[in-house]
Amino acid sequence: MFRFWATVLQYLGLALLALSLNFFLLRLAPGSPLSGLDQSELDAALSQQQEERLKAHYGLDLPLPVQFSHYFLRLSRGDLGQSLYFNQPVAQVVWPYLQRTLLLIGLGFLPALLIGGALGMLSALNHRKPWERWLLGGMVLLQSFPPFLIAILLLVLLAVVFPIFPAVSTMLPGQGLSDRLERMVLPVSAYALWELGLFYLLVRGSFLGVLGQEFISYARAKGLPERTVVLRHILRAALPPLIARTALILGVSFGGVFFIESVFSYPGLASLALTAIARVDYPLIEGIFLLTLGMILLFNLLADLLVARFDPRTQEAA
Amino acid sequence: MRIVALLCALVPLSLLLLGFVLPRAEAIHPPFSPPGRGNLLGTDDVGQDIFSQLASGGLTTIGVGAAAGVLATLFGLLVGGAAGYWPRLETGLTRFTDLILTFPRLPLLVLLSLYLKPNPLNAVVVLALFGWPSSARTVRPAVSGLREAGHVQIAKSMNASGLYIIFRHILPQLTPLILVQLLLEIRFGMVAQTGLAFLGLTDPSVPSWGLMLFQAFRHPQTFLGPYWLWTVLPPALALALAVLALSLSLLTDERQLDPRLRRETT
Amino acid sequence: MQVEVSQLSKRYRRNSVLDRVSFSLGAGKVLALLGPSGSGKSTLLRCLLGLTRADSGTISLNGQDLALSKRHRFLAYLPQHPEVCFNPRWILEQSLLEPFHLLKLETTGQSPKERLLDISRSVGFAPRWFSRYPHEVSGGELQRAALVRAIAASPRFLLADEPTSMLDPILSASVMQLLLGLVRERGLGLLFTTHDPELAKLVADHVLNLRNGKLSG
Repeated sequence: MFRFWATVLQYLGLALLALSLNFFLLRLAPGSPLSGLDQSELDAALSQQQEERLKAHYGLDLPLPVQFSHYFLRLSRGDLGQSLYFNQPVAQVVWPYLQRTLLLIGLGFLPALLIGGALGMLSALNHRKPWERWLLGGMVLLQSFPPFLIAILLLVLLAVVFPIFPAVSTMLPGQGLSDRLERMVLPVSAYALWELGLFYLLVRGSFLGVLGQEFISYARAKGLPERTVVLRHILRAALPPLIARTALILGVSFGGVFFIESVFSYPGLASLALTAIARVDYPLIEGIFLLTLGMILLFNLLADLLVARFDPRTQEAA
Repeated sequence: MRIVALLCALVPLSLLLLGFVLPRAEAIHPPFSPPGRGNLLGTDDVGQDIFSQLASGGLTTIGVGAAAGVLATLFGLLVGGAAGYWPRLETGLTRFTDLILTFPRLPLLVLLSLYLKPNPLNAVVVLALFGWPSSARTVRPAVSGLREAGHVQIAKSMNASGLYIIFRHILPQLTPLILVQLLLEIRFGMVAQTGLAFLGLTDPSVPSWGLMLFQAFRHPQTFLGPYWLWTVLPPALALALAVLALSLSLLTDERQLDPRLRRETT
Repeated sequence: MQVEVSQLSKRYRRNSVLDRVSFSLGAGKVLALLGPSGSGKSTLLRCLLGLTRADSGTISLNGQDLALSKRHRFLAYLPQHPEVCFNPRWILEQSLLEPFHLLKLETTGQSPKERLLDISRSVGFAPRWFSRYPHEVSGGELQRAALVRAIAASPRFLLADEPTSMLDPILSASVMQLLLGLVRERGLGLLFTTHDPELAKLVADHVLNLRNGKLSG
């Protein structure tokens, strides 16, 4: 129980650190935070008095600690502010994009886990056979490739050289379901391919770890059929840490999916972020950053808690 | 395997060398001209020679990646070495390392590159700042495993300082491990630099492979004609070969194949 | 010249490893520390050498407290397993010269290398091994090399951890002979640990019995 709260506390600390980093970066960055509001000549036209009134309106004339506590209170109410470009609350702007990103991750994650996991299991059970070493080498190389490179190569191959799928995944209102699904094939496969290597290595590694343990040899020595050994004993021992690591990978994948989206112009969080950056829409940038960070930290926390829950050894190993 | 790795490294390395020699690409050629005489690999949408961009881009990408990798490894060695050698520092430094490691690096990289001036020097610093924890994490247990080694104890009984022991007795024994870590860090640096440039977050006047990809993808015509053949493929393949070369040389190290010893990297 | 150890205690968590251990060792004397493994012999040596910090107790030389920083000049350590006591990446000469660098020894009229050759001759360590790596040299030779290193710094006392634990009885005997020779010729004080009571009685001027961290008899 103590460990549970210690972990939760650690992540709250991390979140706080991220928030303050975000807050202070914005305010300590060269130039006034207001300079993002008006890039045009209006900027020059703004009188000293007006600028000060504007600063007072946004509370920017207050001492930094006070500003920070205001900022913190605002966030704790779930208020991410107002997007300047879309002229809507940030949360409202972000929601549909976040949904699409989650859809992309969800669709890619399942096949990656199933195929990668099955191959990993097969690999572990055929440890050190020649074909297994080749498979392993291929997978190590695959997972060493950055996601945007996989996406670009996939795009060139399946949308340009063999134009089977659309190269661009923009979604327009009025598109039918099949059209939308077709546009999702490439980003989803790129994402799945990138994750495939990770899951393969993960499952293979933890299976090999379990296979080396004594109780497996014992189960085999008892004369249990191989299928029972695999399903009942190995799987049961390997599964808990696997679940935890999977949660971790899901957290990390928020980073990778960012690039895949921008290769295919998929309308997820990444393209929204790039729009926000191009329009110097600071509240929106901040909102997306905090959301992504929150998601990653949440998955990390989940992973840590799962590891602690299922694997008491980690408490000593740490 | 090593021979294949060397062959892969040949292209990015020769590009790196040419990057020192060739002049910076300028927009003086007809746009989108195909590979051929005059422009070995053709020109991009504004008429810059692709080959010279590839060379000077290699200088940036590999340079930033290598500098960040070296810096991150060094810092990781310091932190991991101190944590592994002095039991009193171990818990604190390990916690700190794990904390930074849990911190999602990609969103932070994006955010930092928004607020800092997007020049290569800042990129090196920021990438190194996020790269060191994985090195520290690898080095710490290795160092603490040698802490009780006989020759370390002897040196200690002769009043040797901790730094002397770490640098003369412990780290030299970990050379293979440190080399592997260095390659990993360089790979991370190169990939991250390219990623940031691909999102358009680096200085558009500093050529890099990522920037070339960014500019090609931004142009609406790229995939409508054969243009992608010489605007997209060369930088993508250059990076792919560089990553392959590093990964293949890492592949020979069995330890690298065990995912439990590694933390996922993006 | 005499080293006095008084009331030395050390605990790990709840367990008392050394409990108020007191004894003294004079120049030219041989002291055997007898006890089964786990009795605290190694911890005692480590405390004396400053590798482990004792919880309480004093170590003094001729009645004066011997500070950690000065201790290294007077006490030298002969480790139990010579094969792991040399940096595997160094040739032996480099390891043997280390005391001169670390203790900033001044060798009057001699280069460190010359002095090393003298010492090597006296313990029968052939100089042709100097340019070898530890793994290229036999265990017996390494034992001698360790001895060369230990007395290179001209210590007054030698602390040897199980010097006769080698499998080969002839080797063990020759090491013991060497150590006793050093005591006689150089007036060294020798403290060695062993679990062999017969040997202890045979060669030591005095035998300390260590059991569960306490001295008896």
